[in-house]
Amino acid sequence: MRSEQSIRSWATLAAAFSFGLACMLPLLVIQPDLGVAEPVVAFFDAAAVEDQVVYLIESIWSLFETGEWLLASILLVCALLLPILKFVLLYAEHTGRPLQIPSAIRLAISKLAMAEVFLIALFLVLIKEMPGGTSLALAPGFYCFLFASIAALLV
Amino acid sequence: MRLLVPIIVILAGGALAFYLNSNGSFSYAVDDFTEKVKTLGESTNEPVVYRVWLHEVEANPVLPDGAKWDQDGSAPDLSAELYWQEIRLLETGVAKDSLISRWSPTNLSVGKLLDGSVNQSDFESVATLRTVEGTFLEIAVYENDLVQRSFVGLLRIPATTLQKGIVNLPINRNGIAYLKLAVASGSGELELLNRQRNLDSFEWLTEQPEYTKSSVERSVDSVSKDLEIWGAKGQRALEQLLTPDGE
Repeated sequence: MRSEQSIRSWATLAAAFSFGLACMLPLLVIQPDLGVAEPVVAFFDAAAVEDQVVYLIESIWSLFETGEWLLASILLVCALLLPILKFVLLYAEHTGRPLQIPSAIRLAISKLAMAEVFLIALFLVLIKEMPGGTSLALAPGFYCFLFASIAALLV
Repeated sequence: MRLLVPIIVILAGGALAFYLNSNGSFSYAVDDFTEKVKTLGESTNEPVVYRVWLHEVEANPVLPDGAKWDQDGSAPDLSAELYWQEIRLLETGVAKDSLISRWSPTNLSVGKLLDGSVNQSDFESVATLRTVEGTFLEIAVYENDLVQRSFVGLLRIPATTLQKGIVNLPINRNGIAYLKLAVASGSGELELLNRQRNLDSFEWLTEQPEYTKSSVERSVDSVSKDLEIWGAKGQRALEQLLTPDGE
């Protein structure tokens, strides 16, 4: 029992570390493809045809800057703050001294902290629907995020 | 204090990611990984088709003998040509007054754009070649002035050493500090990997090969040789005339 708790607490820390990586590594890379028109566009606006790397924290900040307060706030809470809180709670629980928090709040944190997965899924769908040959490639940060979410679920 | 442990671990992960991103090694590692996945199962001995262009040339401020590149003291006007099997595949434009000259792999032709007869290859200013064993890619570098161009040097690298990414070629001769060659896949998007690598297995020739000379340069060479021959013949005839008989 004791060793199982120890494994769970280490797994929680591994998930937390992966979450930290995910926050700072690129989540997605948008690769524009404008076909034969690409050199023409590049001639007038070189930045428009360059690969764009998407970071979690940068995305939240840019949403704030563009006035998308609600979406930015949801993303900040669900994708950043609640997962951190969730890791703290999990770690406290697996080290044998759980925090005294009502179970309803604990459940809400657990559920809401997974909302980031849905937000990313929504984001993917939105970009996949973009016209032209624009493609989207998943970057390592996304997999770190995925691992952090799944590991947090399992422990 | 115990509750801070996961937060510290998260911050450590973030700091590591920030460090990996900031020194660029991470993006190279990702490029390498992606490339390996893409080429998984492909034989490395098979010749590969690449699109190649001269990305950058840096010239030293002065020539090795201390002379200036141009008489007016300005930076050199460099241009280059790419050869494979002694066949010219690409000629760059002249980068005017530049110590660091760069060339783009895309070339927009307004004429073709206006008459509507355009396709992808019309936009590309690259040399497409196959990495056949025993063949060489050669880059002839020239310094241009108003009336003519002068040969600076020729870089020769085995075609089989080419790999996708930017190839750094440290020259440090004839006033050229280094060359950077860009290598991209033979088809599809003209995508250049961030990966850079140094290559030392090259030759730098200071004698201009015949096949790199333009027809005007060949004509000038031919006339110079003819003049030398005629001059020698004339000198001999004059010597015979001036030499008294019987001496």
